[in-house]
Amino acid sequence: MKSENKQKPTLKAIFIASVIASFCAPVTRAETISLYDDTFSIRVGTTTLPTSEPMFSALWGTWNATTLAFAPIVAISSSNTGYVDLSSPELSVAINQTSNANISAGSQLSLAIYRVALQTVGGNALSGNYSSGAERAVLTDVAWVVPALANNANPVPFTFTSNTSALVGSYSFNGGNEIVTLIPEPSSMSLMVIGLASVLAFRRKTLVKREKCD
Amino acid sequence: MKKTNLFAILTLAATPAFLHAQITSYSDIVGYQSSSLPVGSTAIGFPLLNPDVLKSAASTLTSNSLGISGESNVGAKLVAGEPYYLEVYSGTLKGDRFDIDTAATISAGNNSVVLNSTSANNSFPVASLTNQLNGATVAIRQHITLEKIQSYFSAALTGNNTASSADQIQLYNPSNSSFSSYYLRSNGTEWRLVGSPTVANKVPVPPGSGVFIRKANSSGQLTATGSVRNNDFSRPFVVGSQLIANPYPIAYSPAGLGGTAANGWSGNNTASSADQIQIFDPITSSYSSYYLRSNGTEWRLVGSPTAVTGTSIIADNAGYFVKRAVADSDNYLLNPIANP
Repeated sequence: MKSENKQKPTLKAIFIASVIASFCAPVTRAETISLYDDTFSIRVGTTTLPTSEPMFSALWGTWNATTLAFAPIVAISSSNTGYVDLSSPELSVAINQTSNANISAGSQLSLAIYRVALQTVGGNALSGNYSSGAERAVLTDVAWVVPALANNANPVPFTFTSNTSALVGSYSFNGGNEIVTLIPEPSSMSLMVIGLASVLAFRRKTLVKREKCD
Repeated sequence: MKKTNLFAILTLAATPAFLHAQITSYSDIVGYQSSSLPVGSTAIGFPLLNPDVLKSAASTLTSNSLGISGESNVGAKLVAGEPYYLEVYSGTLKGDRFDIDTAATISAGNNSVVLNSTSANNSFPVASLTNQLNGATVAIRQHITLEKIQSYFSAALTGNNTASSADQIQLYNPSNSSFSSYYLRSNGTEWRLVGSPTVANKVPVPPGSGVFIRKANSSGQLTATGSVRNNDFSRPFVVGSQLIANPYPIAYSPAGLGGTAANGWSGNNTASSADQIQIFDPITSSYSSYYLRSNGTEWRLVGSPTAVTGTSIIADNAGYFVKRAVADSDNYLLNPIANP
């Protein structure tokens, strides 16, 4: 009768097994990275936008934490498109690339949503210029990492999650009913800040004058 | 993709008219191609043609408007919103194709067809046209469109508003090395580019172009019907990869494609430096890459010492990549019916 000789795996064996597993794990490959959601609403300030609002644009890109700037991945074209249709509602954004030439595998993606007139180029509805958006939000998620990109591999769909966070504007995950809050464009904000500073300066001058008069 | 060469030609050519012995009537060669598509991606082409809307002699070209002999209103023969192209059947540009500006042709309402001078599908630049088409026989026909491809399927395609869960048709853009992925919406009738809200049902698949069809969660059976091209075919190549298909419903070998150094192909014994033909295998989701050797005539599968120069490695209904080091705007495939 054969005796069983089972040994408990040692820590070393577990480590080796996990190293082998990490090397043998199939590499995720895609040529289309997309995000689709139909359970969200958009607010500007505290006002929830009605479903009659014109379409917004949406775009995959990267966030530069140093300059706090969003940059689209590749040129805005049929390979980088997106929209936000509040009437459905429906948010759909995609990027098509057959290699990592334009964006390295492992890069953290961010998603810009902004109000701007939709453009049509070559029959494709495309996103407009992010920098001229009147209101905007930039979101990211730890799961939105660029995979290895290859010809005709499987698409990689991303989703909004409770880990999604806002880099510009705000975002709240409410059990699948997301709320994306846009903020006015930086130039408008700058004007507001300048205006507020002017008011405060004028008020300070007035107070100084009053003190002198007293 | 399983071998699906069920192509059948119903040769009706040279059918004599019974009552008039002196008159011989001819019809197009028509047929069908059937393809089985597994779950996942399959590269495929559509060699069979939509019927000619008209076939006649061209006359003078004024700006982008090409006169058509014997026609008083070409636009009346077109359907608004449908994409059309013009194919040249004789003269110095025999085998070339030009996209048509359907709206402008309908609007003109006269004996001319308006060519789309900016279309990337044109095999010859409209701006370089002078009088080459004067007197040449030309045919006008509808493009194969996304919705036309959908109609080829015997079972309904899977529509879903989430693109990654829907059946897709993917066109390759050599200019930016990316796919344009179109998906069928939940309503089962509307096609859109992923990430775009615009209806794309009329997006054309230009003649000689391959597409990937991605079946999301069930296999499918596709039967394309149409007539067989009886003409030479202009096949320009750009530098880099292009997803193409056969313009005729026959299998091709590298030699059959004219794949020699003498014809402008680049050979190298290092496969990565040579021109290649890459055929996608939907079962393994990988490519079989064939390359031209340094001698300029011999083709091999990468990693194999066996020559496949004369082997029909490209199925009649296949889509496949050609990777070129050098562009060739004057490349032609000869009509296999006239040049068997």
